[in-house]
Amino acid sequence: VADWTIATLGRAIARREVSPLEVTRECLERIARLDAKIRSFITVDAEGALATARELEAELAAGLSRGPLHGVPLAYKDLCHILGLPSSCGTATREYFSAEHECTAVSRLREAGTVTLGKLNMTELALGPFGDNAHHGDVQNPWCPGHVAGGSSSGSAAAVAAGFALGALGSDTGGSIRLPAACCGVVGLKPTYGRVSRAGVMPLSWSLDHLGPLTRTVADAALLLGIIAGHDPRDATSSRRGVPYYERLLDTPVEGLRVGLPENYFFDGLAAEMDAGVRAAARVLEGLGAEIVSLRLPDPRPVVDVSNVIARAESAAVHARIARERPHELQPAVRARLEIGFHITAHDYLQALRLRSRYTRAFVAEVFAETDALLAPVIPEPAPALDAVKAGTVEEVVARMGRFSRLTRPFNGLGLPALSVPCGFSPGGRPLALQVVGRPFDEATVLRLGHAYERATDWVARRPPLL
Amino acid sequence: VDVADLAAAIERLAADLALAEEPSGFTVVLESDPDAREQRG
Repeated sequence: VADWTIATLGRAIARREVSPLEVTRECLERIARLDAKIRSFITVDAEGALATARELEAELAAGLSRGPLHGVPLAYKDLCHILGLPSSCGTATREYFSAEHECTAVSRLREAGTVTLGKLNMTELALGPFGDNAHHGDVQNPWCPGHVAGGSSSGSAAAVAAGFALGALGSDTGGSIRLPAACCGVVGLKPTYGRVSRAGVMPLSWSLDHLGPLTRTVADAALLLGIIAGHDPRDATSSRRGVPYYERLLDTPVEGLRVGLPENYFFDGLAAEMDAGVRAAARVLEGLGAEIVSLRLPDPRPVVDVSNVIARAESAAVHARIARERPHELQPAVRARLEIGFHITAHDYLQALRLRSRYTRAFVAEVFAETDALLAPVIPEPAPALDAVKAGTVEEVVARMGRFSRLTRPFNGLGLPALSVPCGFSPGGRPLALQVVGRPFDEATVLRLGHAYERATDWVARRPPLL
Repeated sequence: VDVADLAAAIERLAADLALAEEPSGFTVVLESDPDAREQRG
């Protein structure tokens, strides 16, 4: 299982070289054997997964195939509502998180023939970038146990990196797909706001939340996006724009694409190995024919301020009940971040929403008049030690969280598609990552650049040493 | 990040915000982006 990708497994299943039941059993065996070290799952649904795999196998035997995902085992962040399975959203309780309808993206993947292995660990209430969790265990980085897996979709990234699931869904309000993908050496895509329905996903901040895939390869992310993207009547913010055949566009040469490398903000204060890794990736794309353009971006800090006001106000509204009724159960840093939102005025919240639209129009018009995409780092340093990020006062921990997610948060405020792709390793063996950002709804170009880079390098072939 | 800092930032940033700027429909803002690549020809 650890060597399959979704694409290669799907083809092998279609050719009857391997069966959905065999693959599902192998994933479950691997989870049972190794996940006590990683803590990536909160709920493993072995019985349900095996039953689904048997049904899918019977369909194949009857000559029926649901397509390239038929029989592929996936897992979901514990804030995606799945009928019959509990949701804790990373908290100590399941009482607050129920939904009438299943997560639309999960339903679409199920219809496409995937097997659901279970629900994945995450930062409590999705409020934090490190993946530590006092209730379900700190998710360990499969490349370097004792170091953060990134958050908040920590279990999603770790499970894919560890070969427990072929792919996963995560959510991203300030970087929560891209940060763990970067820390764990897997691919993570935050689509354009409105590209993928958020229905059936616990909101944190409905204006900034995005749902997207975490996978081993860019091609796999394109496959999953093609299934989950598109309008959903249950999500009023989901776009009616048509969904391209992303995987068919992947191999279009990147020659001639203008790719911006920011001069300001994104390379400030980076760890040397991260700086070198991202610039080396830019040179690889240049060697493939892309034109690398050095440019000064509109200052992202106002967008981050605006996003902070929106995120704090909305998350306090969403989680008012648990914050009032069970504050003692919430981790101190989570409680502190939630608490701020209760004191933001309606005036400031509304001004922030107005400002967001203005900044987005200005950023897109200025930046994408000159470029087709941007390159940037995802994380300022390779995955730090868990003990180090949890040390100190609550104020110090919260400040550390802000610094670690400073490179991803601008693109939640701007709503732009952003992809995290592995781009090497630090001398100590911790993953490095590249962020590719595109214009609104241009996931195709973002994926194309990521795929071209991935194909030109061999990072994707490496596996965590302890597994 | 504290509330006073956030409020001060919003006050500063919103000083020249147009009266007609409305907060609704962020997806529409993204959908209405004209493709600059077409403009470049």
